Amino acid sequence: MDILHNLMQGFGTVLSPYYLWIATVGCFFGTIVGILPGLGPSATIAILLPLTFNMNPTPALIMMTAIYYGAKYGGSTTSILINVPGEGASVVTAIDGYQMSRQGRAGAALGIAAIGSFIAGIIGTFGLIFVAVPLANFSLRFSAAEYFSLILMGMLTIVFVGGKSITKSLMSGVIGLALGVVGIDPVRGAERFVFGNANLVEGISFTVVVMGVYGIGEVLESAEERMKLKPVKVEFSKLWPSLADLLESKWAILRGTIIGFMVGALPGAGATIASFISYGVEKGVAKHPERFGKGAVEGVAGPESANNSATSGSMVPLLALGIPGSGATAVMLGALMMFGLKPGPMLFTTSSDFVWALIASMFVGNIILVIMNLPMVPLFAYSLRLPYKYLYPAILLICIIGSYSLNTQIFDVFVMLIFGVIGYFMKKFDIPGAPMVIALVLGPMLEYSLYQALSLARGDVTTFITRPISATLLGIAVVMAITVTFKTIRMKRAMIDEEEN
Amino acid sequence: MKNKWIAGLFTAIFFVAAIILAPMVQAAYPEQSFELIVHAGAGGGSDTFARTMAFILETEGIVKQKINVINKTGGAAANALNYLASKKGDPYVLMNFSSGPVGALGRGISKAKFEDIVFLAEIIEDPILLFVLNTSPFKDLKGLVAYAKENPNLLASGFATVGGSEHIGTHRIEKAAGVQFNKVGFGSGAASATALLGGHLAFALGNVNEQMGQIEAGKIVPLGTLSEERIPFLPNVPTMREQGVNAIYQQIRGFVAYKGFPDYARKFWQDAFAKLAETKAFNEYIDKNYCVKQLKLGDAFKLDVAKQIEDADADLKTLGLKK
Repeated sequence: MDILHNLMQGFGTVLSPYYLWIATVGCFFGTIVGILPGLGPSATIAILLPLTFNMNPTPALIMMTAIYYGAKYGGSTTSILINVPGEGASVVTAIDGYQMSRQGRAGAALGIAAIGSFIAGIIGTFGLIFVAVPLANFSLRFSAAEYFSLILMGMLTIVFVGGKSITKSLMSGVIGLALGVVGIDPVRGAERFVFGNANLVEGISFTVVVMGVYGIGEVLESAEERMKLKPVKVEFSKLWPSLADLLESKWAILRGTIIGFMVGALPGAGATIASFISYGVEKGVAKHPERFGKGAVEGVAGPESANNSATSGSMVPLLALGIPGSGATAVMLGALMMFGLKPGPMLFTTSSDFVWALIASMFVGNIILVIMNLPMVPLFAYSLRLPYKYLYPAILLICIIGSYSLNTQIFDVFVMLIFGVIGYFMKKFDIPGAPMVIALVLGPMLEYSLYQALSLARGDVTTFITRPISATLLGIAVVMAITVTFKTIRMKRAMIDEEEN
Repeated sequence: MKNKWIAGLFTAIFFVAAIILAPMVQAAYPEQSFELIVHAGAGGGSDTFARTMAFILETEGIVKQKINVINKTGGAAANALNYLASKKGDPYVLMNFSSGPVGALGRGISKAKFEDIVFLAEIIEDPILLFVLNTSPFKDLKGLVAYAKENPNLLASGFATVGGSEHIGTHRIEKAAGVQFNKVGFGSGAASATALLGGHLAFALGNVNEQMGQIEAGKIVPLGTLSEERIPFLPNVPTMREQGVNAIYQQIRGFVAYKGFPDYARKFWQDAFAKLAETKAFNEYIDKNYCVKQLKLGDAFKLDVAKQIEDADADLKTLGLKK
């Protein structure tokens, strides 16, 4: 078979000492970047771009791709250990991952995250090989109306990620929507709630809010407890995921992989949205959804797999059509152009050696990453035994540096601290932070797609239902909403019955 | 009495020494690393351009100090301009200059004003083209315009940022041809191109380099270019003007500094950019990225930008982006 032959050639190139070294360096940097909140893979790749000018395109792109998915492996580490997401795609992981950590199962969470990421990465790369071109062409049919429905689906997960009180989740979500309004309106470029401050014109940065609410908020709350919380006891047996954990997660991993790959392949939708949707789906199909938010392993397995296969997914439009699927792939597109490789439908034919070497490197990279990450799991889990009086100042420092590194603006640091205080109060009043964060990300996107969809349809509102893909997505969203509502009602009824008896 | 004389003598010696030594100080410029401000985020067109130029300047030995690119995004380039303004008089701070800052200066949204900018050199033109899908019923601009005349506001067209080069460019086509399109903003050139490929738009405006892969694959067809003359590497694509639509938009890229930038620094950089334009690495970059070399130093650059701002004024007001 042609594909097999090409793939073997690709491996031939990649399995040489220099290329393996390049891939390892990329994976390592990527993991670090993922772990540290603030700097994301796209910015890192852009900064390292000039270093690659002296390289040939193949090793350069191999390194960039390795950084890209390496970051997704690393991002879950801080989410799980200290409830500070390393980047957007790891926010939902923090919900159940951190709870598992508090229960002494940090090793299990980290291990499942790594294993899920690995499986998703491998399957995703296979997906890239076999379905890239048809998937890319299908994804072109997604116009604004379809994005709107997809994002609406993502927003429904707000209700799911909130935990016990749906009212509080919705409250948090609305606050997030309000925060998302700050900035420039998509239609006229008019400023909204900017108060003349140039720093707010691009809106309130999601990363900064996440670091504030989760990182600083966490530290403030613990400081109030005067560190009465003892470091979590970590038993040696719990440093790894158990067989039971693995078996429980297998479907979550599979579902997450598929969701992540498909969502990642859509230009403009990436790992973050994929992880939200995966979480929502897992909670929706679970037999006992009330476990979510309290340390359900599927809540880690699904989203972590989704965010990794989303990276392979976002390579689909890049390699098949020359369209960037996300921020990091946009940088890679720029790099491809600088190297004279013309990204576009012809890339597979004109530069087939390069493309297959890149794909082979993705397999190799995933293997390198799982080898790098799995043995580190017990080490990281053990690090939780560090007394909080050392841990929390470190968190503060990392968050401050991270938020400053985004735009080299002190303003971002102030915003983060303000949200730290807000996060503290939210924790005190038991208002979940995840809905706010999700709404902050998805709100502006929702508004933008709504405006575009209606513009393209020249004001015709039925466009969302008359377009088949959009209608399907809306249908799925409605089904998801009804299913979870029924489950919740049944659960509440059961609780009331119990009390009465 | 004696003190006054001795003080005066020392002062004189000091002044003479300063006058003699000053050229040596200037000759020693640059002595520390530079800051190159970019108004856009890492990875975008402006950022990649700035980083590549910095890299070439360093590796070709034209500038013997490190050039650090810093991204100051936000405020539709106002943030970057404000940051530049805060570095008044600093000979080690420059800024990348393209449509974004032009728009910000035109709309008056930054502390820095047009008169305060020291224009160093314009280096390239990044032409903007009008694209349709290869399956489009319109085979040339004439057909497109004729259809649009019959059906106002029907044809959907894509542009990147509100008030950006494609937005104003499309508007100028509308003005020149007397038609109305349904202009839809996508936030980025990539998103707009994707929508075009998906068949959701009648046409889109965009840079060549973003689309070259698609052009070569025959998936999209350029119907015209908004530059003054035909593009060397696309000799068969006529300009808008040639086709009877008098719409021009020049997207240029260059480098500027802020008022107070010392003369010796200005001279150094103008020389540096002139040398840069002759290097092999630069010309390779031009070829690979499908832009056009256009070197204009100092005042010639300033004139170009002044004209751009003036031309865009009416457009911005009609589009409701400027009062």
